[in-house]
Amino acid sequence: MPSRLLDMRWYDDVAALARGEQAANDDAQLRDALGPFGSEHGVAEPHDVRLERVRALDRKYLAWQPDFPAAPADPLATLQEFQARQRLWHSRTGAQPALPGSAWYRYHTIEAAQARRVLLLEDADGLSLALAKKHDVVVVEPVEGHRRWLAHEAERLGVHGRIRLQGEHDVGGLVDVTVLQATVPAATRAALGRAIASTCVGGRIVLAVHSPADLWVYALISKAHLPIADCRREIEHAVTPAGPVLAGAGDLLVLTRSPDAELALEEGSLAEPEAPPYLALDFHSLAPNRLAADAGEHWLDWLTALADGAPAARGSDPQSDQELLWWYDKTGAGVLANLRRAERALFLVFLPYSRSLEKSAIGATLSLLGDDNTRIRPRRTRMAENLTVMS
Amino acid sequence: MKEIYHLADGLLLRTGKHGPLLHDLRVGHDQALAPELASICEELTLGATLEADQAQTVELRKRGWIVPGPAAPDEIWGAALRRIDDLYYHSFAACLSPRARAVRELLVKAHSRRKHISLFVGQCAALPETVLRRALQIGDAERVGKKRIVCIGDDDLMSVALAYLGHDVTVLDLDVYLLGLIEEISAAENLAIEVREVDLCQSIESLGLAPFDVFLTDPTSSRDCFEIFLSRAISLSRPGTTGFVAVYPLTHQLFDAIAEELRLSVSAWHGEHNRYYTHYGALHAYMSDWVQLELSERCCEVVDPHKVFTPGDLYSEQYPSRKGLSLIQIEDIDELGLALPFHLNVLLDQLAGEVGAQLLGRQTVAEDDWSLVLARLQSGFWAIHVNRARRNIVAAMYPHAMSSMTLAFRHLLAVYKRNGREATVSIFLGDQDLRAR
Repeated sequence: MPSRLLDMRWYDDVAALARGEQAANDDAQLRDALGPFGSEHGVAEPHDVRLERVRALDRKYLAWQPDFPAAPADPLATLQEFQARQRLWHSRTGAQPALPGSAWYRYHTIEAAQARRVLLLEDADGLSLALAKKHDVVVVEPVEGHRRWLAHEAERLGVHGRIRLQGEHDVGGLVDVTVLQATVPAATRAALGRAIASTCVGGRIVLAVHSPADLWVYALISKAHLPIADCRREIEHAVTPAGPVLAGAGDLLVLTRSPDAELALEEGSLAEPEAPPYLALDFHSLAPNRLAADAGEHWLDWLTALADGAPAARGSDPQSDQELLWWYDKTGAGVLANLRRAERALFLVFLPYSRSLEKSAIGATLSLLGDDNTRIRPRRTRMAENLTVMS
Repeated sequence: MKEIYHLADGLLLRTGKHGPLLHDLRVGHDQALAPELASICEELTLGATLEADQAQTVELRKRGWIVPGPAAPDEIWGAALRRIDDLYYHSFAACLSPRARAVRELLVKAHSRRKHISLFVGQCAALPETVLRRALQIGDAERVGKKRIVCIGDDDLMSVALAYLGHDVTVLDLDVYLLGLIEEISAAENLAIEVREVDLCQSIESLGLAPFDVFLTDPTSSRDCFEIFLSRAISLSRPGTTGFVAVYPLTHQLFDAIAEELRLSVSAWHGEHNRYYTHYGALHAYMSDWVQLELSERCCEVVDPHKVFTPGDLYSEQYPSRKGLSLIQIEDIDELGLALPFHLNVLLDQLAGEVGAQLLGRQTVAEDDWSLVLARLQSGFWAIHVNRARRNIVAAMYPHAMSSMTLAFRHLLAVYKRNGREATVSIFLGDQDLRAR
C-alpha cells in the first residue's frame, strides 16, 4: 500500500486512533484524510499480520545468532508485540527504533548486570515494558506522544506501577544501569553526562552505537573514564516506520560507571550541535513503478512535510540519466540527492549533517520511492576499542 | 643441502591482477615480489624443499621471508584473525557445546595456516565464527545424521568445520593451493574430506559424483557467477537437497530473478549473516546474506552440465555502484568576510578553470547565517556550504577526483584557514572525507 502524507492538524486524532481510542473529531474530513488506512475501510493490516511481519524481520536478521531464542517467549514476545501494536512512530524526533530482537539483547545485557533499578534515556522499543516485569524502570522520554503510548501499553500490561515515565531528566536517586543511544556528538555527550550523574559507581551504562558515530564515541568514553566491560558487535538493527531495516547493524557497548567518570569540555567538532559526521547514504533497488518523472518533486514535497525545519530552498535539475535535487531549511541544514532512475538508485549527501533531516530523508525515500526490495548500502561500525578493525 | 622451508609468520601472499604481493602483518604494508621470488613464495605457502645455499634461498632468508621447517599455523596471522573473530565470537561462545567450541578452535588454526589468497578467482574468506555458524545450521552429524555435503568453492574452509561435525564432505575448487591446504588439514585431523580440482565452467559430466544432501557456495554476486555455481549445484543435487548460498544484499533482486529462472525456492533468508576478513588480515567491509534453498524436481540448470560455460566477468559484484564522493570540512574558519556567496562562486569558477571542468547549472542560496553554492557538472555536482554563525565550511564534490579535491582543499585553506591545528582524512567505500580544524 503506498504511503500518504497527513496534515499535522490530525495528529491528536490519529494518535487517539492509534491507541484504539475514539478520535475527538471523527468526522468525514478525517476519514478522507486517512483514506484506506482507516480500519473501517476493512483494509488496515490486522494485528496478527503485523506481528508476523515483525517476527519475520527478527528471524531474518537475528535468529541465526546461536544464542537467539528459538521461540518468541517473554521478554521477546512482549517486545515484538509492542512493535506490532505501535501505529504511530515519531520517526524524526525520537530515538531510532530497533528490531525487537535487538532490544531483547539489550534486555539480557541489563539482566546480566543484575540491575534492580534501570534508567532508559528514551525508549523507542518498549524495553521498559519488558523490564518492568522484574525491575523498577525510569524512562526519560521527551516525545510526549510516545510517552503517552508507553503509558497506555504499561497500563494494558499491568506494569505501570513499576515504570516512571517522564519528559524531563529527574531520576530521583541512582540507578544500577542506564541505557542510551549515541546520536550526534553534542547530544550524546549531554546524554552520557546524564547517565554518569544517574548511575551508581560500579553500575553499567549501556550505549548503542551505529556507524559513523563509532568514529568519535570511543574517544569520548575513553576521556570520560568509562571503561568498556563488554561489547556485542553489530546487534542493533534499526528499523523505520516503512519497515525495512537500515543496513549495517550497530554495536551495543557496556560501560562501567567508574568512580572518576567525568566528561571533559570538548572543543571543535564534538562541541558542535550537529557537527560531523555528515555522510552519504545510498539507496538501491528503488521501486521501478515509483520513479516517474515527477518522483523527484514528490520526494521534495515529502521532505518538506517530514522535516523539522521550515524550508528555505529546494529545487531539482533533471538530466536524461540522472536528477540532482536539493533541499535546505532555514537553519542551513540540508541534503543533496542524486537520483539515477535507470539504476533505480539514489544517493544523499547531508551537507552539513543533520540527524533529524537524515531521519526525515530516509523516511521520505523509503515511503515514497522504496518497496520491500529496497536496500540501503550497509554502513558498518569500523572501530572497536579505539582501533580500526577494517582495513 | 636440501632443507624444508615455509613462509615466515606474519607474511601473507596474495596474487591478483596487480601482480604477486607479500603483505607483512608485522609492519602493516605490502612488499612487491619479483616473479622469480613469487613462484618460490607460492610453493612455500605449504612448505617446500629448497637448496639452502641457492642464491634465492639465501636472499629470502636474508629478508626474513622464509624460515626452516614444515609449514605450520602462522602465530602472528592466527592472533590477528582471532582478534577480529573474537569481536563476534565472544558474544555467543558461552551458549555453544564443547564440540562447537572445538570446531571454532580448529577453524582459527586452519585459517592461520592459509597463507595464500588468490584474487584471480575472487577469494574473500569468511571469518571462522561465520563458518562455525553456517556449520551449526546444518548440525552435528551425531544429532542430525551424517550428510553428504558438497562445497562448491571453499576458500572459507567450510569443509573443515563440517567434516569435524561428522559429515562426509567433497570440495570442488579451482585453486590447487587451497585444495592442498585442505588435504593437509584433513589428514592431520583425520577428517572425511575429498577434494577435487574442478573448473566449474567446464563440463562436470566426468566427475561421477552421486547426488549430495546439502550444497554450500559463496559465489561473487554477479549473474554469471550465480548461474554457473547454482546450475552446477543443481546438477549435483536431487529433489530434497538443501542448499546454502551467499548473496550480497544489494543484489537481492538479481538473485531473486535467477532463483526464479532455476526454480529454486528460498526457505530462509538470513540477513547480514556472513562476515569476512581481508587479505590484510583485517575485518572486511563486505558482508553478505546467507540464503537457504530447497531443491525440488522442478529445478532446472540454466547451464548444461555437459557443456562448457563461457562467462563474462565472473568475479565482479553486479549492482549499480556509484563513484566515490569527496567531502571536505573546515571548522573554525578565520575569514568570515570572504565567506559570502559571491566569493564561493568565484572559488568554484577558479577551481573549474584549473581542473578543466565545465560548470553547467548553478544555484545559489543566500541566508543571513549561511549560504550554499551548487554547480552541476556533466557527470555530477560540486557544492560548497558555509555556516557563518558556526564558522564552518563543508564541500562535496561528486564524483571524486583526487586532483579536484586536493585543489579545492588548498584553496579553502588558503582563504579561510591560515592557522589550522590538524587535518584528518578517512576513506570508506570509495568516499574520501578530508577535515581540518
